[in-house]
Amino acid sequence: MSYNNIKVNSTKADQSGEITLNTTNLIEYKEAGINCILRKDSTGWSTKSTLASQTGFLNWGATTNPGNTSSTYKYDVGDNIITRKAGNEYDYVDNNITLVNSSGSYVPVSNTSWTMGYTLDGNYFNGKTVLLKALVSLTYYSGSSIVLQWHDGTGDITTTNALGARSYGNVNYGSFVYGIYTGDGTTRTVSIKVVDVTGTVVFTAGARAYNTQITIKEIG
Amino acid sequence: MSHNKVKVNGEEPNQSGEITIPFVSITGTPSTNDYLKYNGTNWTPVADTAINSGIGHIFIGQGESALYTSSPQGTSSITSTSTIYLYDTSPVNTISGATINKTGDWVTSVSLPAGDYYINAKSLFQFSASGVASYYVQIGSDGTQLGVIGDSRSSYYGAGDIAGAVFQIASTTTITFKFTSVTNIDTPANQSNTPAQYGLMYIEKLS
Repeated sequence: MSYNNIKVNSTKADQSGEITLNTTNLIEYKEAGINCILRKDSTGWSTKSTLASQTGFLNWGATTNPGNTSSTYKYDVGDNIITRKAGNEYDYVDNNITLVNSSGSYVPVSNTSWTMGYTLDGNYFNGKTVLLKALVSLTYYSGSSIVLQWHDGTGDITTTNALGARSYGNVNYGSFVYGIYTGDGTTRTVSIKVVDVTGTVVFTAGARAYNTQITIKEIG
Repeated sequence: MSHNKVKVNGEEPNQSGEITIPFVSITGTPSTNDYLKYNGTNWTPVADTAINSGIGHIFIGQGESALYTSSPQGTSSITSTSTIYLYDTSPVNTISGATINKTGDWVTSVSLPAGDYYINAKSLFQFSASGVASYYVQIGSDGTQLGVIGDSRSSYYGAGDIAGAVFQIASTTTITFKFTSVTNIDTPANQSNTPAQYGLMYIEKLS
């Protein structure tokens, strides 16, 4: 071996014996993070995470709300769960979601201060997938229980489609109900439907709002 | 400069003047427009369409009806080590490299590639008398925290019915939804459609 006869990747050592490797070589990226990708930029290779960002669309954030515990306002099978909206109980609602007024045959009471569903704009949500997640604290009369499920639609439950598994609840047993929805380009309304009910279960009031969680977030 | 004084990335030549540079190999053969993705050991080619494959989700459980006796559990008694089967005729899976393992339309397990995950799983079963059952998702030799169902749940101090965790796996791992204890859980025949209608697993790949 003699001076300057050493080559590494076709690069000779300089007079100081130093070999500078071009940054297009992969060697320097042996410490890249898992799931990083290698991308050519103007001077060499750079690493970029594959992690994409996702966003939230809706959140119930009330600590209390007016309501009524009278059995007059009990839920029947096929009803939509209603929650108050007039007092900004939903502290985050994306512009592409509209809260639908409680009205019609499938609610315990019609009232424009309350919502029975969430309308997702067809154009905006086209191709987007959202996770629907809720736990609604209700008024349970003795021995009562309820089964909830996210549905596509607010009408007759025999005409709406389930968007996830059922969830059981009673005065001691709160359970999250999950749904998944992928936009198909049309504007649709999703709701939390009463699939089954035993005894008298009445819509939420007072501090039950604190226990209630309703979120819609992007997952794809 | 004298023999063996040259170093490249800290590596000296051997007696033959050869320098072996530690480098990370590329496994597989990239196609046009592929990216190179680092998996912790090697650079691997990934298709352009899979560039966001670091995230994704699995959603199992649409609330459909099916008798639990039609699951792999059959008519055998449910025990504290039984697998919990989820029913879904069209489960959602957008996690690249993940597989939902099924027997018919009953999900038996899920295989996940390396990465960080958030998981929630739950189900509901019928009891022959006042009872309780706990379950978790087994992840290799580890697992999620417990979810609890049933009325006799005071010994679980207010536990919820979600078995959940954030976890990291370094290589492809098969996860299984399983009981850890059962008291007075009813026979598969008496479960009817309940586990199919209430069973759910949601997995979100975080990285």
